[in-house]
Amino acid sequence: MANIKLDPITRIEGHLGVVLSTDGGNAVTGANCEGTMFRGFESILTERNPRDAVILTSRICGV
Amino acid sequence: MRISRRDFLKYCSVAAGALGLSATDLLNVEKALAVNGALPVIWLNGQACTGCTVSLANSVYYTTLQDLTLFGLPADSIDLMNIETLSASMGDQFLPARPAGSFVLAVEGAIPTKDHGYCEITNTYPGWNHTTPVTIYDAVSYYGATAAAILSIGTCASFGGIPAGKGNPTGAKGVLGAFPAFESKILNIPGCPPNPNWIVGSIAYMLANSYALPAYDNIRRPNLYYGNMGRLCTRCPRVDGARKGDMSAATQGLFIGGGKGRPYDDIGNPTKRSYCLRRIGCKGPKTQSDCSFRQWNSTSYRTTGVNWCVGAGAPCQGCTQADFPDKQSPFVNIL
Repeated sequence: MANIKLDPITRIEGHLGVVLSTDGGNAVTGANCEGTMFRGFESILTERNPRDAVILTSRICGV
Repeated sequence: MRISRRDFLKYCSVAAGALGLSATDLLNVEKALAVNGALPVIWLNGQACTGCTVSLANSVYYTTLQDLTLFGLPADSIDLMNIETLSASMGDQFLPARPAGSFVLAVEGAIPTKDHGYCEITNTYPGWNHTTPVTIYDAVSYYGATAAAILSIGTCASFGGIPAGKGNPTGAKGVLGAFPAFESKILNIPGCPPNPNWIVGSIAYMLANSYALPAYDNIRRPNLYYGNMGRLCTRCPRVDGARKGDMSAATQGLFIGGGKGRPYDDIGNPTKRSYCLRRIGCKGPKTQSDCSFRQWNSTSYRTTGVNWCVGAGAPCQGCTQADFPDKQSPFVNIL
């Protein structure tokens, strides 16, 4: 039962890690993605002028 | 088509990750190609939206990112060792060994300081003695310790930016805020995103001046692109009289429409077009940058851009300032 962890995945926006569980041989028994970065936009947007939401949420992704 | 052994090694270094070379092989390929003078640049992403990388990829005015990195091997070039959005290598092969000589660390995105978490950039890295995942804080303190200079690309890396806005749960800070000990080698290149010319121009200055930082203002932004500009109004075409070539009204606060006219473009009425946007929240009066004349998205070398925010009718957001976004908000209200 080996774990293969690929972190970081490149050529994407943001941070991502992938964990593969194998049965020791060549079979993959499980695969999980991990989002490895958090900023908390929901908290940042509270108690602001609602018109600011357009400006701020567009910076969630720069692509 | 026959290619020389040297050319083959060049292509290898670019696609090393795709060819499955291990970290050791990669290092040997790098040594084979190291040209005296190519400045290694390591690019790390923190709490970033990747807009700064995308903006840099659109550089044209000075030179393209391709020219600067892939094929420009002579001394006036950089060796961009890794950049998460574009690198072929991934996983354990992504982070390079810390170069022995001079190198530059470029950081995009804010650095979270709470709970030793919130932004993990790799699982473990051989040689770091880490049993826990490596965070952006760890990486910047590791590479930054011996870097010749640290470029904070974008407002997030410079001053914290939007992840550091009021209400943020991660304790996000800019590179200078998180690592005050590195202050003497940090150069801030803010903007949300920064104009690619500001990034390429600052790197070009450093290459031409033995990796010395360009002259900067009191918040460590290069004077050439920010501090020396005064406020945006001094070069804004919406100032009264600008069309006649007279910019003196900018300092007197005389704006087209006198602040009383319609504050935005009236497309149907040619005489009312191009009013000053101050009344709908333009932060130009307190923003220093050269957007008003360098503009954005230039299409060829040495040609200024096709447009900019205010030229397109959108009020300036003040994205190069240290207090973006909290003190520049509300963005679309009367100043």
